[in-house]
Amino acid sequence: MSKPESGCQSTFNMNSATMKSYFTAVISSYAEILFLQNPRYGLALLLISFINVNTTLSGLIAVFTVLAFAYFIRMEVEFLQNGFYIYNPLLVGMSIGYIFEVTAVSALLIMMAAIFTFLLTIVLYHLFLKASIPILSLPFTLVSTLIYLASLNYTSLYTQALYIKPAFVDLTFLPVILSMYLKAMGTILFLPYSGVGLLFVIGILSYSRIMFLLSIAGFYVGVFVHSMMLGSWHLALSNPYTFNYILIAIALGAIFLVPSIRSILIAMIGVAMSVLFIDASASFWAIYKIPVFTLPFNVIVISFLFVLQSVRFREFAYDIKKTPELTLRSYILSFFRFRLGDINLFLPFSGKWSVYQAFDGEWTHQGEWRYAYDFVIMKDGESFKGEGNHLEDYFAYKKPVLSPVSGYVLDLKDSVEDNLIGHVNTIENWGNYIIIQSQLGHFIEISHLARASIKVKKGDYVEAGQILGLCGNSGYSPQPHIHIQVQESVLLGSKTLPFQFVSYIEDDHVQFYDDPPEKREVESYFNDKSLDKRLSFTLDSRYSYDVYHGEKIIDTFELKVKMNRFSGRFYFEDQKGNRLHLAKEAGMFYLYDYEGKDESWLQKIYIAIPRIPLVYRKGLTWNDYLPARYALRTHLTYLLSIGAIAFPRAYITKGKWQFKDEQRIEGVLFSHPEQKVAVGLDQSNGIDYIEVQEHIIRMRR
Amino acid sequence: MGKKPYESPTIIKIESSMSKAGLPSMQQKIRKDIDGVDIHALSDEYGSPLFVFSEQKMRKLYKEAYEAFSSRYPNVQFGWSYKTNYLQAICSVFHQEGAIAEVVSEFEYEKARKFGIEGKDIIYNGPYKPYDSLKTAASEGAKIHIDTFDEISDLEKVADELGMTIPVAIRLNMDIGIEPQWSRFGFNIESGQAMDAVRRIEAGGKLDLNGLHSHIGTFMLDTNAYKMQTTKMVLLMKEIEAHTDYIITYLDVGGGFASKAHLKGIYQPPEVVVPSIDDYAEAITSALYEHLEHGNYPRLYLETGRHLIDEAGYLITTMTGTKRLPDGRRNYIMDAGVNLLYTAFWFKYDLELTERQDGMMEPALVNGPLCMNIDVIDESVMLPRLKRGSKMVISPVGAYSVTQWMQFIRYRPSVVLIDMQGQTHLIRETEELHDVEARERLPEYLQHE
Ligand SMILES: Cc1ncc(COP(=O)(O)O)c(C=O)c1O
Repeated sequence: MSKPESGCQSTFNMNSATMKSYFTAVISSYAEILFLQNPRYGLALLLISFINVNTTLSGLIAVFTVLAFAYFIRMEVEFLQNGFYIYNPLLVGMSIGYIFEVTAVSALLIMMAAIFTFLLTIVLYHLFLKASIPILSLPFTLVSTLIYLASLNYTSLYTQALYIKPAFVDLTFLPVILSMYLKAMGTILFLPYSGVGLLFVIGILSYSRIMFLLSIAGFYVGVFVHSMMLGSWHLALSNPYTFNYILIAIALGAIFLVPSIRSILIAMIGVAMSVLFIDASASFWAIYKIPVFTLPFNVIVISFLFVLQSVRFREFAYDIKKTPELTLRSYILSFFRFRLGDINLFLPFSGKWSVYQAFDGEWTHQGEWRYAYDFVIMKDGESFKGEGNHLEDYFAYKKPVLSPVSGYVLDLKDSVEDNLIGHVNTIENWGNYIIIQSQLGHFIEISHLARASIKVKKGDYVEAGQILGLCGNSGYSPQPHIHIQVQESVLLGSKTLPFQFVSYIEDDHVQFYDDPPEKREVESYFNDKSLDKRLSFTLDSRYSYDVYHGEKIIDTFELKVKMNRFSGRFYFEDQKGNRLHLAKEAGMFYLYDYEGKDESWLQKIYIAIPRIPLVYRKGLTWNDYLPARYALRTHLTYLLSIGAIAFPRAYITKGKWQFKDEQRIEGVLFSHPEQKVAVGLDQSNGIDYIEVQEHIIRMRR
Repeated sequence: MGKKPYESPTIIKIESSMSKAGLPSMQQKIRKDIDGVDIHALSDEYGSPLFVFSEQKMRKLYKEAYEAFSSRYPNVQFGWSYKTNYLQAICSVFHQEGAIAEVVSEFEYEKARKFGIEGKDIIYNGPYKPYDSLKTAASEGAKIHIDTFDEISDLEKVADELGMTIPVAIRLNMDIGIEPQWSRFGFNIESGQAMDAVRRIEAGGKLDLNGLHSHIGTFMLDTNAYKMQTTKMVLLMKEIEAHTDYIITYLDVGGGFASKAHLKGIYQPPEVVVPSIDDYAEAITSALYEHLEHGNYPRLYLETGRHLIDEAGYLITTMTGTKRLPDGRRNYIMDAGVNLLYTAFWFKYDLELTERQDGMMEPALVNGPLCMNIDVIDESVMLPRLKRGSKMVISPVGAYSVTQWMQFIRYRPSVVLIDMQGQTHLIRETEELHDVEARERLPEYLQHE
């Protein structure tokens, strides 16, 4: 073969970018221990931890061992970057360094332990992934316990056992009630000194006010409960494992659950429970002279998350952001913007139909079948013209039934006669029906279609909006109508599940993710090709903008369309690295998850047009919600985000938008004072201009 | 009581109960009012002849048509075809109902713009669009439907001048199994000319093709023609999207839906031969569902004119004189004729009396007031003997009459709209001498002292 194997070559060619990635990985893993997702904080922690050179050194030995190992097995750098895979080995390294001096022998021990922890991390991660449960520091607890047990035999190590205590880092002047909290904080990184703890607390405070408050609440609630049990406040305060309270409080109250009153209560219950755990395990572990480490934290948090996930706890944080504040913001916004329900359907017809029966409808939507919708067409209060004695008199009869989801047709029936008016078929009560399994796995059933009208076959893939058949009057149906439900299984008549309609029009207003009440007239829509095209942002395309203040151009910027190769999410990025995510689904184009500096032009675009329904009718209106601070332009963000725990509504600003014509959208943000915004869509592609606050942002051609 | 003038008796052969046209003819057709407003009261107040439009009927027809389509296809937009009737009040009703404007000349374009319709809401059709008006339309974002290769060149020049890419559509013609084929408008699909036009536009790189348009004719009685038309348009759309970067975001299937009018040469009543709006909607939307790839729906534009207005228009006219023709037919001279009813050449109207007349039904020739042979409203209709001054209501005359009428020999009469509450509104006044002469210039040397 004459061709050089260049691909292979480059794998072993470590460049500076890769080096930087590894460095980021190391410092990120430090930050990760305190739930901080910011490498800079990690760097600070690393520097602080040099107060105890021995633990830090052994921690670093562990980390570099793992990195070398990962490199050796050609693991992709990106996987390591966020520190997730190496923070357990780091902890293990530090835990060894905490009691053994670094020597050639202990270094060997650290290296073996680190690789083992790394392997265990990956194994547990994949096992836990199925249940979407984090592994926390479970690998560390397990491996450290293992090492401590093993090292009982390694007498050579013990002789060099180390009990140093750098005196200057304890703030002896502080009252014990405070210094113990700080000490607990330091202990998390094997630095049980109040001075170090203080630095950590300052770091946490600057990173997240919510985490800071939870650390305090967790610590003192834990100590309080423990003191009740022990009958001694002092004993409770000086317990070496109180850092578990802090970890539990932060993990449950702010990281893995969205910060809320309910999450915080759960966190405190967890903290209280951990008291028992600490005492029990301490007695038991003490026999073998091994510390409890973070075992209480791991067992309690993992148990809680397992249960909360299985009951679909509403505040379960499926989308964990960099800080609890951001998680909370994104949750509140998603709650108002997307309602968080997971079964979403399009209306199964074209045009305006009326809800005849909704969920819990009094005639037939009862018991197991309570979650269903019936639709008819009404004009002037009647569903038929003339006397209504003939099927043909009914406006709904033989009108197209459109697919409410994209998915596969699993089952259907097409042979049941349409009942004459005034008769119902109680034997084949579902009549002619279709059962479709959506891409997300839900089973959708549509009933009472007209005989021989079904236009799809079993096994066909159908797209949302595609014609399925015609509305009829077969089965238990006194007049032609469309019945739609989501059910537990493919079996006809199985138990129904609640769902919502993604987007529809009611009185010239677009509703997103809602269940229209009975008698309401709703109009369906599916993506309009023109809006779809104009709001198509292809990867790597660029859009240049000039910013005007009055007549004057005060700034220019360029947006590039990019994609995150792991999540597949698209985003706009400006030259400053600010990012704004975009998506087109469920009948709308929308912007979400702004990451970057406040007051950037990209953020202004987000404020001006958070979403656009992919349907045009002149005068059509819709609502959306923005983070209040964007619209308010306030710097009271700390207060806002803490307040949001109890009063989510205060955190968002509502806005209303309207199509003035096919190219111009005008909106009002209901902030104080109200703000007007406007958006021009280009005739062919992209956003032509944005009028927001005192600026006009115009596409440059 | 004055003495009746003498007339010599004639023998009339009473035919069977059906006339040649297949209509029951022995019965007098009586209409006393329009939407509850008395015919005589109308002509007393506004004069005769008088065009009367029913807003109620217009809105009803529009709503029925919109619902027929929107309940079958989720992305529908009607464009009011100005040429059918561009009286401001009429356009206004349809715009209120949600229709945009469809125009075929710079005059109609200006009319729509003056009306406050934005360029974006104007469909600009027609085989001849002057350069300046193309430029205006392009800069205002109108939906320009290209008819010829020359127009492609013109628009490219406009694009250069304005420094913009102009979104355009092309008009198509095709074989849909009916005669005559309207092949002189737009580009032919079967011959490959349409695809050539697309390539030509692509080569120029200055226009963004985003729509397809075709209008297969007016008063189309065959719904299948629409099915074929729609199918061919969707197939062409797919071909364009497969071979170019253009995305066809809309299909405009034109107008042409019949009204309940009686076309000459068709011997069954309109109730039998004219398809319902649901039939048309079914034909077009079923073709869409059959051939579209799903996910995104191109918008469906309809340029329905006649169907929405024809049956809402009436012409009240007065009998001014009568005589018997040599062939025995009775002849009535009305105060309205083909000057106001250009469409009389193709349609046999419904002639209704305002009150029952005594006497036998007899064949009659109904003429207008022009001193020309062609001024015939109906060459053979069974009528009872009419008294001088009696009124007749001619319908349906809502479509193309008040746009194609002529100021020839006589002034054009008033037009009245009856609103939803039954109130009447004068929407166009009877012309006066000044209106007719306003644009004339008399050279000085011809002016008499
Ligand atoms: C291009 C075009 N669109 C629409 C129409 C309206 O047609 P109709 O009045 O038959 O609906 C016409 C009439 O000839 C036309 O030429």
